[in-house]
Amino acid sequence: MDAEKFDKVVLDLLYDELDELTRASAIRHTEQSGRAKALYAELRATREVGVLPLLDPPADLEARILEAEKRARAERPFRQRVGAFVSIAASYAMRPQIGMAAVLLLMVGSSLLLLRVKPGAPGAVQVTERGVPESDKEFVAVPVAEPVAAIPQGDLGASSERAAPRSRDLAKAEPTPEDKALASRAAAPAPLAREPARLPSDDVGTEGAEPAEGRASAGGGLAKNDMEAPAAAARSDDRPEGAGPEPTGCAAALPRYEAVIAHPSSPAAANAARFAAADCYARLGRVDSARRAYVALLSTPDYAARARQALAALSSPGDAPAAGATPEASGAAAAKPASPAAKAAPER
Amino acid sequence: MADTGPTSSAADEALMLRYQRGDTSAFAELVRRHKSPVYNFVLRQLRSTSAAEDITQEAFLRVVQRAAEFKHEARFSTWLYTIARNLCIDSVRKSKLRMHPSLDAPANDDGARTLLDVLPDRAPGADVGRAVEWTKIRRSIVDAVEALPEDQREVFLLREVANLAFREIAEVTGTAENTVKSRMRYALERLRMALSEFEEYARALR
Repeated sequence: MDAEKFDKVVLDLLYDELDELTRASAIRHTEQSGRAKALYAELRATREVGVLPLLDPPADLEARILEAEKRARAERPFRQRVGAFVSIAASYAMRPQIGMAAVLLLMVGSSLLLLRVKPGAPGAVQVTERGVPESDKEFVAVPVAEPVAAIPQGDLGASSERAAPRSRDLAKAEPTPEDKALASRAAAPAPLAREPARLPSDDVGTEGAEPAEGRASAGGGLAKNDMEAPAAAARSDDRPEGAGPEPTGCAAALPRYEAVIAHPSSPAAANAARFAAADCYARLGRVDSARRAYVALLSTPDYAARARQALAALSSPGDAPAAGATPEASGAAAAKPASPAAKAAPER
Repeated sequence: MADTGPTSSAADEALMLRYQRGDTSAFAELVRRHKSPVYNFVLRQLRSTSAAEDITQEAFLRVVQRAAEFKHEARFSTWLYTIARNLCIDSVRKSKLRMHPSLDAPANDDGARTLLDVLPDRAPGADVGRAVEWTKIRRSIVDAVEALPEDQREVFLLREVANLAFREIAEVTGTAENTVKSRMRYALERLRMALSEFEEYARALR
């Protein structure tokens, strides 16, 4: 620190208004410079001597001030009071904590308002599904036995929304043998509801060939999954020729029927699979296997009559479908009223 | 120099905030803390006890009336002495008190005692000789302060009586801090010359 800078800070040093670093530097300068030391000593001595004596204010001065304050508060005009109130309120409102709390309350309030459950709203969620694929629709829209049985024959095709257009055309046309088979099936009291042969899309082509057993009355617990896959495979008899080496129709369904027979989920499922397998055997020309399956069903009360009829049909050589017949031929043959299933249905 | 007593400026602002919210006891505490230095500052400026009382009371009354305007970024003492200084200037302008009576003039209307007579004795236990000497010193101090130019006396009083820092004095007087320091330096130089004969004796008294 030089003399010029010391002169600038000497008063701050005298009244102790310097920071520690500058103060130490100034003190060092007074120790090194005789002029600075003399100047600082003179000022300090003057300050020590020149203590200005203070007078005590009058004793009643404080009381007078407080009294004047009370009067001033009482006489404060309304505008000043309002202004003071607004000033105090604004000083509170401008605090960050108050502002953050207000924002938080606003967020919580708006969330509650938006998330509030409206009165009268349904508690459960409703889902409306549209545009179900056709292949799935076949499985889902299985016609229930009772409504089908109750619908008159003439109204069957016209009233059913789920019927295929082809079925509606058939319903409006003149009665054909297929219509008769449909009518006979509809008249059955307990149709094979879960059997794929009963699905609307198969009504015309394969109606007569499908067994019409009353599994619902026989056990009611027929495992739907056990029979759906082989039945779907059996339905694919309509597959065109040359579609590929993959087995289709009864050829594909038979192993699955046999699997169900080997490991049935219930006796009713085993009997149903055996009856369907026997029908497939007959279609494929495996007469002996078909006969064995029908014979095995003779001991089952629900299938005994139909098995006997099927055995009788097998005994007549003209009715048995030839092995290796085309699906169309097989379907046409199955549509005949002489089919065991078609014959069995009215018996129930 | 002046015994203004320890005042916590931070507490002053807190008290003022309380008073703004309606706590009158906070204002009473502020009055208790600042009445004496404000009174002495005005007294040394106007050299009249009655004017000092009136202006001190008026200064606190202005605080009451403008309490809502007080910003807590400022220091209360700076605000208060700014009000008191402005009131002193107004009073001088109105009553032509520049030709004020001397400290030797009667302090009260009855004219019985002077200001020096009512000054407290700094050495009450001293012997008569010392007491006489001390009275002489006090008179010299008061005379020296009275003889200071107005701007230097103002800075001196704000520094020694009101105990304001130089930066705050600059705010009160509306001048630069370096100017304040310069005025203070000149005031001390004048006082040193006026009191040089008592320097050693004053140290011995303490």
